[in-house]
Amino acid sequence: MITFNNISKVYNSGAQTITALDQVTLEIKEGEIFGVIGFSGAGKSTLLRCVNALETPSEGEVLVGGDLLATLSPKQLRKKRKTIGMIFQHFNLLQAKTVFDNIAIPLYLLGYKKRDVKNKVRELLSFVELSEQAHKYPDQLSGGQKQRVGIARALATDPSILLCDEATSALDPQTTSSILALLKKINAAYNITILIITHEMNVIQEICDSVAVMENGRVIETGSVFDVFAYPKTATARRFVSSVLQDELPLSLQQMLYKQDETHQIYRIVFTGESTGQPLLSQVAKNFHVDVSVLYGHVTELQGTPFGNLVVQLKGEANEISKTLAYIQDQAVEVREVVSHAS
Amino acid sequence: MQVDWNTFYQDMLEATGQTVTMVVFSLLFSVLIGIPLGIALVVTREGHLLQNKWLFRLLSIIINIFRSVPFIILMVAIIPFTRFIVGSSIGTAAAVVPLIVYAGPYIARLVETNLLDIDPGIIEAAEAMGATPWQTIFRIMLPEAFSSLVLSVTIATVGLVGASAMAGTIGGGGLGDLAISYGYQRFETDVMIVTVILLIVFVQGLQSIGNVLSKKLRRR
Repeated sequence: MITFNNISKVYNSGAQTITALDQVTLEIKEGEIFGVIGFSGAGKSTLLRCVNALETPSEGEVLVGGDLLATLSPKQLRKKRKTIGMIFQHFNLLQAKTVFDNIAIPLYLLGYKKRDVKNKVRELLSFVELSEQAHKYPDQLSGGQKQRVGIARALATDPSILLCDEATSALDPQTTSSILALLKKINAAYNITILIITHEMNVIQEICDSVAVMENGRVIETGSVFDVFAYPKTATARRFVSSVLQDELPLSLQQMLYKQDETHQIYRIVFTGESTGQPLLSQVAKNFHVDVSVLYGHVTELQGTPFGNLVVQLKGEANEISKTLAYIQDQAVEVREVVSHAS
Repeated sequence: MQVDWNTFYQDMLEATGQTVTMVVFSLLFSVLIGIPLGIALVVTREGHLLQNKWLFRLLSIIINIFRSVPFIILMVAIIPFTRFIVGSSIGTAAAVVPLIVYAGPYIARLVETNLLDIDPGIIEAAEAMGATPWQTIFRIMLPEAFSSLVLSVTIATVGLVGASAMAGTIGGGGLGDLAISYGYQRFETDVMIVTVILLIVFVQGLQSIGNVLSKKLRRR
């Protein structure tokens, strides 16, 4: 649906050149919810704006629904933009217009008749659960309600793509969840491809199918949300994963690591999918001469698949410990030695 | 020497009428000139809807030139132009021309400020919706800035009331002319006081109307 083909964006400001995007190649499939995560300044906002040509790349090409954006005339581009909805961190609603009129703007721009506008806006209002607020002004709404208006406005032209620019970053956690649920509902109800940029990993965890991690204008890691969460490859990805999975070891545990010797060793056991349900630790205790103590851990769900992370200490003879480890690995469960913090 | 108020009130009424005429006509035309100019000053700047560096600079320089000439000098300086437009360089109609030349660029600058105050995010949203530059101006920017535009026009109107008082210099008449020729040149203090009070009432009334309108339009 959206293809970024080796795109770069370089800004020249005076003698300085700033590389906002550095040879980014990504493919976003129809109907998926794709998240791009990165710290501020990573280039994700520029990337998002390349989809509706609010930004044009200095190099490379962007294909949206089969059209090469760079080849479109201004008129064709405006037509294309009507198939791409966009919502913003600060909502960008017209302060002088009511909720109803804000949602109606894109329809009037398309030349809809008044009656058709009315029907469409009513339908959108009920979809985003704001029918009661139709005649209020944006200033009278809460942040979550404002974003709902933004979403309704973005959906007014029946787009096939929805771009979300830090859409939940100005909202509290509870409101964030309700907006994310709404986005999921839109994705399911209309099969709209959603591209989200965010710096909040919980957004990725809650609704995305795939994710790309950006740093310094580059995509440093990409894959399904499950893979990136379970097996982050880069330090930045690990930091983001840690921010929601809380798999970073507490300080007291980190101090214990220094006391490790051959008979007391600490391991991280990663359960994914079916293995999460296995009585692994009790098997270990029964079959091997080791003592197992759970130091830290949690189980969560990623894209509907259970995912667990346990930090355990194994006490026993060195060769018993290595037999235990071999057994655990045989069960298709990943186990890693914890050597330093956050590994 | 005291004026006879029994007959003088008619001069007063006539002068008030001249002031109103001057202000209304010059306001009408300077709004017609100033608003498009103000829009142009915003949308032609770098990175905006209809970016055009040279047009932007040209407009800006021309407006600055008019804005830097004091009204009383401007009035005299453009006499040939005034004569070309209204066929005469004296009288109320002739005073309207320099008032427009004075207030038009002033309004342009005020409108520019109002439009620049709009959150750029709103203009970006319009672009993302696929709005044409004209749709963005008329359907997004102007409605969004409308209540502050009303306040700006109010400021310009009050400025015109003040400037119109100087129009007496070229025989434009009006309250200002009355105050100068009776109150100052003939030491008729009471005429001076009455005209000043009238002008104050004028300005207060205009500002109040502007404030109420603007507040109504803001409706938040």
